[in-house]
Amino acid sequence: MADNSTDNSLQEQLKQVHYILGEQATDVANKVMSTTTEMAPQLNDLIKDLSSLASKISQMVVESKAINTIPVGKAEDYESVSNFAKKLGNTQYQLLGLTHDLVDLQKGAEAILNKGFLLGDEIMDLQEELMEVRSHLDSLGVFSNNPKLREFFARNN
Amino acid sequence: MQNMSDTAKSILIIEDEVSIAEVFKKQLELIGGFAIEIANGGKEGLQKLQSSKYSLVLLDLVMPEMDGLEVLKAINEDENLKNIPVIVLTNVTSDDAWQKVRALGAKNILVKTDVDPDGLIAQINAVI
Repeated sequence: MADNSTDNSLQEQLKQVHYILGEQATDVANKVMSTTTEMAPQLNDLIKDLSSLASKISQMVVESKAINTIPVGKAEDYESVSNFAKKLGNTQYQLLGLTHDLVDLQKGAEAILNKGFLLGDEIMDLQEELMEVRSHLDSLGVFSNNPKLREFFARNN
Repeated sequence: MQNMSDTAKSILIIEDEVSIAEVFKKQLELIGGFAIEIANGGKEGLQKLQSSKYSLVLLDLVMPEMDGLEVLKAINEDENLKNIPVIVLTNVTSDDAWQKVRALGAKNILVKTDVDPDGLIAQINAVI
């Protein structure tokens, strides 16, 4: 059996791992989840607004071209409007990419949260096993003859 | 699966902005003699493709919920749909988007504000 110093060190490391994965990572994941949950609908609304604007501009240009109503000397203006519609289209596309990135980020955060929960479950299982071992050893009268072991289980209870 | 029209070549426009879709529909019906249906967004577009038969799809790229790239992927993955020609009609001109569209097998990419009715009809006839 390991001596007390090893037990303490292992305990400290486990505590640290538990803290990092179970609390810090979970905190970060929770923050990511809440931020992305807030951002996604806002981004979608922005894309819809831009889409509506781009559509109106496109409609104007397409209808004018169809009935040849672009006034003489105004072709450059229509070209500028057309270019603006393309810029809007490209901005929408970039925003769309951002919404996909947000979805990926949410999936990552979910995975971290699930791992945090799994780790919590594993630690609880280990504690239950430790209690069972302790109870078994106690029933065999091991503790009355071994104060160090009694102390170890008392610490980890 | 039912034929949308026995006589005219049928085209499905998948576009979330119905007003611009209506403009293209009017032009293609009047000048091109096509039978046009409009699907409001990618999800509705896929549903229509699965329930009716079309000669071609005109597909917008930026749409909420299900965008044009996702629709193209879904079409490619469906044995019954993967042979339907798709022309992307968009205002997106970025290289990244066009590369992805080409990689997903679209027959052509046209810019909404650059194309005129005759040009659009010529491109459609070249594909179907």
